[in-house]
This record gives sequence, structure tokens and C-alpha cells, in this order.
Amino acid sequence: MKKAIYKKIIYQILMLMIVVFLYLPIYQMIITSLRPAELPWESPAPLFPEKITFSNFLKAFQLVPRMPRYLLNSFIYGIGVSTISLLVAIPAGYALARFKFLLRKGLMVIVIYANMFAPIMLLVPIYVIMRKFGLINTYFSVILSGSIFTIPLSTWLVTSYMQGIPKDIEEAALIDGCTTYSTIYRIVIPMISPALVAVFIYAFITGWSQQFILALGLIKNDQLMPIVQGLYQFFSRSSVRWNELMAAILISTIIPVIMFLLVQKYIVKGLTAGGLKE
Amino acid sequence: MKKFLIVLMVLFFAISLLGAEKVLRVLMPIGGGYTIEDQEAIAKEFEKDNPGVKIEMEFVGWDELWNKIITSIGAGAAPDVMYIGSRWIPALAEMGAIIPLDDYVSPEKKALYYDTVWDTVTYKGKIWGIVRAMSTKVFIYNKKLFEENNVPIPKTWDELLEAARKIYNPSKGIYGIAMAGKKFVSTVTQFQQYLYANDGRIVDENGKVTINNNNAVEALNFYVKLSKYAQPGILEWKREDLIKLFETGKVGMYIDHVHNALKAIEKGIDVGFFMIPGGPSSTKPFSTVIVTDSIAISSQCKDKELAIKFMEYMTSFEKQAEWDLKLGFVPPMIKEKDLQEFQKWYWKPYIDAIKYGYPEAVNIKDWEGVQEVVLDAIHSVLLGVSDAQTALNQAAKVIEILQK
Amino acid sequence: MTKKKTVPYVLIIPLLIAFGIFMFYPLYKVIENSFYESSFLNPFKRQFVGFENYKWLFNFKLFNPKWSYFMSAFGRSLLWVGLSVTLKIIIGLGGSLLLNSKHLSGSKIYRILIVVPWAIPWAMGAMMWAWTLNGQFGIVNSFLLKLHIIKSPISFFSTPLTAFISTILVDVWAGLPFVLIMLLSGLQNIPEVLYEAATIDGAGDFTKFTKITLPTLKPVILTVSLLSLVWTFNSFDIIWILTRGGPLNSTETLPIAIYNVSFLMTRFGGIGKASAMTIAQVLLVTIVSIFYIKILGKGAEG
Repeated sequence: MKKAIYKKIIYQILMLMIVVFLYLPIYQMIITSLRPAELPWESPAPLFPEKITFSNFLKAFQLVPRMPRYLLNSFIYGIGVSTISLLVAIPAGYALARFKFLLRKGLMVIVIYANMFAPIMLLVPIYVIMRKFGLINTYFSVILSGSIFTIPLSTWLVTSYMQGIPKDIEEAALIDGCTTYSTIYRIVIPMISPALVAVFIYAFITGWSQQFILALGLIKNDQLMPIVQGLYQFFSRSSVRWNELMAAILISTIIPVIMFLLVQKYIVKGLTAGGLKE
Repeated sequence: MKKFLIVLMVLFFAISLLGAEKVLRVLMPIGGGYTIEDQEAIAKEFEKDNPGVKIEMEFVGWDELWNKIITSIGAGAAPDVMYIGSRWIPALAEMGAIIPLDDYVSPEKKALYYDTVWDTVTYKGKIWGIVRAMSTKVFIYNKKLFEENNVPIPKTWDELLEAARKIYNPSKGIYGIAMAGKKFVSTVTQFQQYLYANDGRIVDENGKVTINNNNAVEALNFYVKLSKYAQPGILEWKREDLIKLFETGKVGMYIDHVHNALKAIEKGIDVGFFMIPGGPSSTKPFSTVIVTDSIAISSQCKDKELAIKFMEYMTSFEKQAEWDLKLGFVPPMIKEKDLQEFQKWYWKPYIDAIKYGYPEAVNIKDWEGVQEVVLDAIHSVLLGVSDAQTALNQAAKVIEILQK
Repeated sequence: MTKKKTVPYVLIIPLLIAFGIFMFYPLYKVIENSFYESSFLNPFKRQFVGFENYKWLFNFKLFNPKWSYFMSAFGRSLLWVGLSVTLKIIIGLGGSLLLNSKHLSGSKIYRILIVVPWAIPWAMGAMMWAWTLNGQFGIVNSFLLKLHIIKSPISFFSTPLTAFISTILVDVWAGLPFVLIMLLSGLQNIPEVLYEAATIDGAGDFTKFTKITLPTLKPVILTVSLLSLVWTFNSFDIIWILTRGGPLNSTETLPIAIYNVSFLMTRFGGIGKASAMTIAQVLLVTIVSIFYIKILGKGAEG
């Protein structure tokens, strides 16, 4: 019995250490955004804010006047990237999981291998292609090129989830006279919904964060700038106004965090099956 | 009736085609005090005064400005008018990416500015940009700390070192001087302050690489010596952030813009100024690095007349004065110093410094490359990996190649 | 039923188009560029140079007389990625075991807590860490001082060693939530019956871990670490925001070096050489992954 109590305490301490590590910068962000900007910094920094103000959240909109626009842009990128990822991943995942066909094995390898590429590697050629299509300076160009880096994992997650569920129901539907396509729509999609939520969230977050190097060439107009790049302008040059910047970051992370919290059950569920196969 | 409508529509289209707007694409920076609103206001006004012209402004963060410029040039899609750091002029001129402006700059326009200002945008005897913003820098000091420690205003390097030493009291968290060392453009400028103060140059007037001569070695050694009395870990600080240290009242002095000094005054620090004293091998009593941003015209620009017109508009005396007052920059035009704001006491040292100034990148053909090399030298000496002479010899060797 | 044969091909069309246009064509372009001399500084002169750019990878020495510029970035990358991924997996495995354990009270709350940081874009996370680890005003130093672990504040990004370690830790921070969630979901899939049977056989906790947990979890660990390996190799934002590869070149990993060669050291490098570096990195990651699968994948089905 005593042993169990020790265990409990030790587990609790170890877990707390991980949580503290994960939340250090978040805590720093919160206390910095609550600290009056007029106060000079102190060294060593106080661990709790001496005075609290909410004015930084208003001032953040003065520091980054187009923040609402940037947030909207990021939202569009997030939704766009996850939509395209799903549109590609659902049929491809279904094909890879359920059919035996000529390219199957090779395609499977490519899907896994495609995770290998980073935006920085393909930046210049993608820029050239987008120019050829006349897509520079459009939401579409950023969404398309962003999806490229989320499609591989999305396809793979859908494939493995589908491999984990039995075929019987679909086959029954097919016998009942449904076409393959209506089976996908009516039967398969509802069945794999946890995986789809996981894919959606993964792609949304990736699209939302939009590795800033990617947007660099494709957007010429700050009207289309995603929030990460929008805020980076106020980090790289000039003296960083930490109070306002941290408030701005806090504001802009709230949307994805809330989305996460709402569907976090599905994320674990959706990734569960995905993790086990292949 | 129907016919009439069609005729009307055709007419309407014809008119709208005739009145098609001329478009001028302008690349502008944001961040570091440059706001989108301020710059778009200029475009709007210009459009109002010039009907039929549309200014399409593109904004990009300072940090990405260089990449943006060179990628768009490479893709054949360069903006017509570009706002650039004047240090990039030699590289862009060598690429054939921007056009010389000598034919467009009238003698009257030329006479408006200080000669040094033109030096910052001159390469191979030609003018490649019109200056839009200028800065000189001087030492900002904390009067209280200077008085408490009985430190006189330094007039030589020895006195500067002595001042930093006297104020330095790490057990109380008080540092003699605040210095920069992060891998960033402003660190090179901070080092250049001492380099120029000792009559050293990265590349001299004749295009010879002199970063490893005696003056330069002396300057780098002095930089390292001073850093002993600076805040710990200067390699993680960029100049832009030093104001945060100075504002706490725990730093004796450091080199910065006037607008940062004003921030410190706002926070209740009793601030004084003194010009950067000349070093032991210098012939001049004071020195400063002159940094400018300028407006250049792309060689891919089709309507050069319009581009010039817009450039003239932006840099007219009124607009320039308005801009400098708004952003707190040192006025590049001589007449500006008569404006009431520039009579204020804190402007005097900055305006006085202009005559001791030397441009940041004369003859440097590839600033971005040189910057990396110089930073490497500064780092290896600050970290004790090598001595100043060896590090600068190494740097000189690489810069020789970059200058080819 | 004859229609059925065409079905899979129709279904993979979107995937093929996406990969074809935006992955293989760009990749082909990169390969092509790697055989040409071209630079942003000289965009209209393009010259075929054969394998010169690849030779350059091994010949071009900048500051280090021993190793070429590419090789030093390469070595640094291996070390950086190796340490980062190992830490992610160790902490992730430990954390997910804790979360899955009956002895941890409040594990529901913890599960929610570990998901949240995943929603923060890495670039923003890096900006937050830059301030958190600041030598003068960061709370990490305040904590360490309060706990009397250090006597005077550490300037984490001011020496090569501390900067190297700090960037790794920030990268671990960024990648950990994903690893934790994946491994946790893997653990939840292990049937309880296996453990019950082992308990009856009198197996201890450790035996259960090595005999049941690890082997069953192996495929998940393998996938997660592979993904995390690839992503870490490509990590750019975090280092760029925190140190830009400095001080000296201590944190200049391959992606940073590729960026430098394309945009900053244009006169030495240029697009051709950056492309050669990119291809070299792709090959490198492929080889490392294959080795990894061969060594760790033994015995794992899949």
C-alpha cells in the first residue's frame, strides 16, 4: 500500500515536470501580456505580475493594426488547407485501403516518403509554377502549396484508419445496389469520421501556422498575410514591444486552442488507429 | 431603346478603356516604425493629385525585404519602385537591377541634402537612390549613474573604457555599457561605430579591403575590452533591444537612435548625450556611421517617368520633414534642421554628428555576404576562439572574394 | 462489376495531380538546378556545370579549415536532430506511460493540457521562448535563481553550447505534444487482457513493460519517431527566430545553411548550390530513415 502512494507521488511529480516544461513559454506569454507596458523590465524578472492590466490587448491592435485581417487570412488558410487535404485524402485513402491495383505499393511508399520535403526546399520552383498559373498573390496559391505538405500524412492517416475497420458494412451497401462513390459518401465517411476530424485539425493547424517561409514568395500583399508572418514583422526589426506582442500572440492562439479543446477527444481517437498500422 | 442602350454600353466601355489607370507597383517595408497606414496615406494623396494613376503598394517585413527583392528580380517581376536599405545599392547596381538616377536629380534637389547623404547612395560615381530616411548615432548616457560614480563625459577611448569600468557593478546588476552581438545587421553597425571612430573601414574609398589593418584590429580589440563591462551574454542581444536594458536605469551608456532615447526619458531616466569619441589612431575627434534607407527604381520598370514623379513626390521637402518628424529620424535635408522640433536639445548631438559621419557601406559589393563574414569575426573574437588579427585576416580573405 | 477496375484509379487522381504538379515537378526542377550555376545576384546567366555544385559541397571551406561548409552543417544537423528526436521520444514515451497509468490521478486534465501547446504555431512558440529564455528578463532564469540552481543568470543564446542546447529544447517543446498524443493513443490500443495474463503469471512492472508494452508499441514508436525525425531535419523557423544560426555557426543546421546559401551568401552559393544541398539533404534523410527502419524495425510487422 505504501508503495502505491510513493508511486502516486512520483508519477505526479514527473507529469508536472512535463507540464511545466510545456507551459513555461505560455506562462511567460500570459504574465507578459498582463504586465503594464509602462513598467520598466526587472532583472531577474518577477515570477508573478506585480500589477495587472488588460490594456495590452487593446494596444496589440494598435501595434498590429491589421491583426483582424491577418487572423481572418490564417483562418482561411487553415480551412482551405484542411479542405483540400480531406478532398484528396478521403478518396486516395479509400483506394489505398480497399483496392488492390497496379500502383498501390509504390504509391504507399511515395505517400510516406513525401513527408520528407520541407517548404524551404521546394520554395523557388513552387514560386515559378504559381507564377505560370498566374496565382501569385492569391489565397489559392498559399492554400495549394500549403496542402502539399499536409496531404501525405493526411492520406496515410485515412488509409490506416480505414484498414482498421471491417469491410462488411460497405460490402453490404454495395450489394444493396449503391455505387462505390455513393458508398464512400454515405457509409465510409461517417465511419471514419474520427480520423477525418484528426486530419482536419492537423491540416488546419498546419495551414493556420503557415510556415512563414512559404508565404514569403507567394504573397506580395500584406492583405493576404497570415498571422504568423504578420506578427513576425514586429519581432524581427526594431525593439520588440513584448507586452503588446505577447498579447497579440495570446489573442491569435485562442482560436486554434479552442478548436483543439472542442475536438480533442476525436484527435486521440482518430490518431489511435492511424498510429498502429504500417 | 435597346440599340441606344448598347451604344451607351459600348461608349461606357470605350471611355473606361481610355481612362485605364496607369499602375505603379511600389515595394515598401513594414516593422521598425514603418506602418502600412502612413505609407498608404502617401500613395492615396499622390493618386488624388495625379488622376488616372494607381499606386499598388506591397508591404513586406524588413527582415524579408532583401529576399523579396532578389527573388522578384530573378523571376522578372520586380516592383517598379523599391524601398531599400542603401547598403544594398552596390549589389543591386552590379546586378543591373536598378537604374542610375543622375539624369533625374536636379542640382536644386541635390543641394537640398548633405553631401554625406549622397555618398550613401553613390556607387561607381553614380547615384542609384534617393534617400528617404537617415540615422546617425551617438552615445546615450544615464546622468544619474555618471554622477554617482564621478564619471566625466568621455572624450577618448581610454576615458570611455574607464567610464564603463567605473560604473560596472555586476553584484548590483549595473553595467557600464550595453552592447550588441547577435547575428543581425545592427551588430555590424555597432562594431562599425568603433571601426569608423578609429579611421578603419571594411572596404576603403579605393575599393581595397582594409578590415584587417591596424585600425580595424584596434577597434575590434576595443570592442572586446568594452564588452567586459557590458551586460552579460552580449551575443544574444541585438542593438534594437538594448533600450530595454537602458530603460531599467541599470546601464551607464550605449549607442542608439534619438527615438529610443526619448523612450527612456519617458520612463523617467535622466538622459544625456555625447558623440562617439575618435579612437587612438583617428584623426577626427568624433565619428558616427551614417545609415540611410532610400528609394530606387527597378530596371524592369516600364514607366520610368511616373516612377520618378512618385519618388520626387515622396521626397519633397514637406513630405520628407513630415516623415522624419513622425518617425524620429535624423533629417537628411539641410534646411530641415531649422524646423522647430529639430531645435530641441536632444536633436543637437545627432545633427552635429552628421559632419563626422561616414556611410555604412561605401564600395561594399555584397553587403549580405560581408555582413555574415564580419559577424563571424566578431563572434569568434568575443567567444575567445581566435584573436582579433587572425579573425579579421580570415574575414579579409573572404571579403576579397566577395569584392571581385 | 467491370467498372470496379477503374474505380481505384479515379479515386487517386486528385492525389496524383497534387503530387505531380507540386512535388515531383518542383523536385525535378531542384535536381535540374543543381546541375546549373545560377544565383539570384545573376538571375539571367545560367550555365550547365555538371557535378560542380556537388563537388562544391565537399570543397568549399569558409571559416573552418578542416570541414567544408556543407559538411559542418551536415554534421551539426545530425547531432541536433539526433538529440532532439531522442529527447522527444524518451520524454514522450515516459509521459504517455504516465498518462496511461492508473496511478496518475487527474490524468484526464493532463491529457487536455498536453494537447493545447500543439495548437501554437512553431514560429510563435519560438518568439515566446526567445523572451522566456532571455538572459536578463526571462522567467527561466528567475526560476533557476529562485531554486538556487544557478547563482547568476545564464544568457542561453550567447555561447555556442548553450545556444545549441536551447534550440534543441525549444524544438523538443514544439514536437513533444504530437509525440505524446500518438504514443498515448498507441498505448490505449494495447488490450488489457495481455497485462492481466502477465499478472497471473507473476510478472513485475518492468517485465510487463519490456515483454508487452514495448513490443506491442514498437510500430507506433517507429512511425512517430520517423515522422518526427523528418520534421526535425526540416526545422527552420525555430532556429531562425532564436539565433539565426549563431553564435558563430553553432546552430547552423542544413535548412539554415540552405537559406544562407540561397539568399545571403549569394556570391559563394546561389540557387544551383542551394539545390545541390537540398538534394544532398533529401538523400541523407532517406538513408538515415532506411537505416532507422532496418535497425529498429526488426521484428516489427509492418
